[in-house]
Amino acid sequence: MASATNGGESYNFKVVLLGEGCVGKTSLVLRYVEDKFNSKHISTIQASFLNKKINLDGNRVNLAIWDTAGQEKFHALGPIYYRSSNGAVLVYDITDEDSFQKVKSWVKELRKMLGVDISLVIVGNKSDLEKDRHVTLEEAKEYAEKVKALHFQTSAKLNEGVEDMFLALTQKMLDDAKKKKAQENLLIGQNSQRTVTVVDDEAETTKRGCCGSN
Amino acid sequence: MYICTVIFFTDVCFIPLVYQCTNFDIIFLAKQEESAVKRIKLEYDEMKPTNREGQTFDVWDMLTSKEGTRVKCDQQKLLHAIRQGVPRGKRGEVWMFLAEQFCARVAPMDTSKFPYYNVSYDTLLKQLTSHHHAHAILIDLGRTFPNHSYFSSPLGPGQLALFNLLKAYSLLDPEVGYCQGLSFVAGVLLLHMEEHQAFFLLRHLMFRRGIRQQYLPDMAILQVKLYQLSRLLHDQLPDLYNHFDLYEVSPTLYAAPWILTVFASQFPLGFVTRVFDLIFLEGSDVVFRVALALLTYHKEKLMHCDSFEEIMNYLKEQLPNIDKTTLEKIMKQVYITDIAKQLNEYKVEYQVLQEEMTSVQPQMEALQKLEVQNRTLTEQNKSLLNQLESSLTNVQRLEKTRVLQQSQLNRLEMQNRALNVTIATLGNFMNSLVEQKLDIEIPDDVRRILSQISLTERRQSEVKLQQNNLMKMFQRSDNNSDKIMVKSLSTGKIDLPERKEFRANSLNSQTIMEPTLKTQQDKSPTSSTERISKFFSTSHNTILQQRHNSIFNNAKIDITVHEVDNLKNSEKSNSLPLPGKIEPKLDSNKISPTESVDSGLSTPSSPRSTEPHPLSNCDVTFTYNGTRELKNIKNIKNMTRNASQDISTK
Repeated sequence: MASATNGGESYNFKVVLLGEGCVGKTSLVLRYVEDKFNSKHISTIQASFLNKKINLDGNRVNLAIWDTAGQEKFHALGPIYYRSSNGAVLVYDITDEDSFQKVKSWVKELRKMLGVDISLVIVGNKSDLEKDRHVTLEEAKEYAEKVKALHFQTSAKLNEGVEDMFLALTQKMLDDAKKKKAQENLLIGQNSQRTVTVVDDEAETTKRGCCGSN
Repeated sequence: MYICTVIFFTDVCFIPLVYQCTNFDIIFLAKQEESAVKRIKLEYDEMKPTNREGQTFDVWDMLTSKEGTRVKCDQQKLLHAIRQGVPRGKRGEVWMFLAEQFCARVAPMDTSKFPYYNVSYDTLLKQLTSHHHAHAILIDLGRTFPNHSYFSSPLGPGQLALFNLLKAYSLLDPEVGYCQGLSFVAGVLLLHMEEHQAFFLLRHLMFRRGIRQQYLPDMAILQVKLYQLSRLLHDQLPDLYNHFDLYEVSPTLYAAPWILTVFASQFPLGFVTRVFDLIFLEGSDVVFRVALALLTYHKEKLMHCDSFEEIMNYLKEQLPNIDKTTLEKIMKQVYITDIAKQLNEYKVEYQVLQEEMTSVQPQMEALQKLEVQNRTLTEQNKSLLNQLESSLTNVQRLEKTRVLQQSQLNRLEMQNRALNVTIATLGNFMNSLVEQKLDIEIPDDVRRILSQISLTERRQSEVKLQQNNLMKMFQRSDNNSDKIMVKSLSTGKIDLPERKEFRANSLNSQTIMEPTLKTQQDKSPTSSTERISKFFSTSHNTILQQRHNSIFNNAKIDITVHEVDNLKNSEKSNSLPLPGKIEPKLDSNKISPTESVDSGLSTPSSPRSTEPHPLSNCDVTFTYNGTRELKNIKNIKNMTRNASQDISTK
């Protein structure tokens, strides 16, 4: 562990939970961060913030998780919560078709505002209420694949899939961050190459000048 | 599904139980139940000021009973009473009393914009609210004071009352409908009174005390309030403001629940109700004063939090953790702060800023667009640069090959020329030999060779002409000196095909100027050798004609040619060995006897049947240095050919 940590790097990721009201956003975060389930928590007014530190592939990752209010009115406050997020957890309630539609509109908004820079995971919560299911797993998976998002089914109540879901998302964000870093390095390399070219150009012109004078 | 539930709720709760009972026992039982419910409702730590319980109770008893007659009370007196504390059992009455006091003091509001404003609670309850609002209210029922026993049981009396109240309000005020946060305000009211009264006070708080706007769909007023709080911090607690600013903690991230639920969602009810007391007396600005007092109280500890997470956690966990002493300290500060003026200023300031923002917005959007464009163009530029790079190396390589080939070409050219000169000189030598020594026996072999030479020369010159034209084209394309030539030639206003000829002619005329030829020409009439003189006279005429032409051609052409010559000289002189070689051979011509000078003109001009030597049309002959001499020789060669033919015919 220690050796792995020595080799790894530390990352800070911002994750935002979005979805219709009462689909279990707060419960998912509470389960993940504090391993608690409280059926009697209050409505999230506007937003709340929780922190989670994990170790993944020897990398120290600090997750700043933003839990948001589900009510649509609060979206009027603008993209303050999902701005500069590395990842988004889009939650729907498997017993509520409307909440799945809401996820779709969130995907659209996020892709529009943040492009492909944000890793998405679509989460069907309340999998313990299988008998009341209104959103089929196939439909949700198909949609997630289409929009290049991960898909998970969770039950914050029974603690099923929550850890896996956050881990997978973190892994994706980590991969993206590393990819980005590699690209940046490549860019720097290209830049230096270009400088060399400029030098070449100059040498060339002087050579030509000599030819001309002869 | 939700609409059905709505109907169900309305049926159950609309008609209060008490009024349906006629039996006294039932009434008694109901009253007992009511007091039990009241007890449940008021299950919260009151945290009221110490010692004065009896006293304050009396004050409020006196005030509320007297106010049945709607006597206006002095605001200071009321404030004093509130500072003493309001007992929770009296709170409902006190709030109603304070609301009535306010209504008596302030002119009634204009309800024309709200057609349902005066519709009774019962009537509203009978109506159906929209699916949207009903759903939003329903999902919040279990999440409003879930730990308070009155609200904790799912769809129990507390939740049903809450549903009714919020549903009725959403019908009264369709614009707001239901907004998260409202359920807490309604819940606090319900803990202290009946649904009807709670409805009255909710409406009072929303419309008359101005908290309604913060729940409007665009949340604009909430943003104004958050800005006001931020400015308050900036002016009143600059250290804390800077500390928060450093870690990017803005009121938007923590204060929205304070404003939207009047602290009810996070803070203990003993504290929240004290805030409500003051709001009913003074209005909703109290929320700012409380927020400021809270932050002031916790300032030192907040200053010790040195990360975003720590600050946020402290605000969420520690700040709402209020005990009796804390409460008193905080409330003490709340009572003495007066920030009404500042709040107004900040509000105006925000509006001005908003206007500026909106006026700048189009420019910002344009800027963003340009930034995007810039990014794509930079990328394009990068790829083009790469292309340019590779094509430049290509050009370089091609240039090298071209230079190599050019020098090879030049070398071959020179060799060719040198050979030509040698041949011509030899021919000339032969001629002069024939001239000088008539009795010389020219072997047939030599004659044949001579004629062969002239033949091949003619062929060569034709080929060369083509070659040179091609080369000229090539040179023109990238050689400046050639461009100059073309330009100056064009000033001569001669059509292109003609021009070529004229140039050639003028060149010929120049070559004629050479003394060596003249001697030959002048000598011709007096020469003893008829065969040769005949040839010379023809050639002389030709030359004269050409010379004549050249006079008519404007001098510019000559000059141009000189220029070109010079340019070429400067380029090639280093490598051209021709002039030196040729001089002595021409000198050998000079040795030939010369007598008279003139009579060239008197000689009848022979027809131009004797065409000028093909080489005379060739530009290359003057393109390089020494070619003039060469030309002479070539013309002589021409003569040589004729002479040799003559000889052969003889």
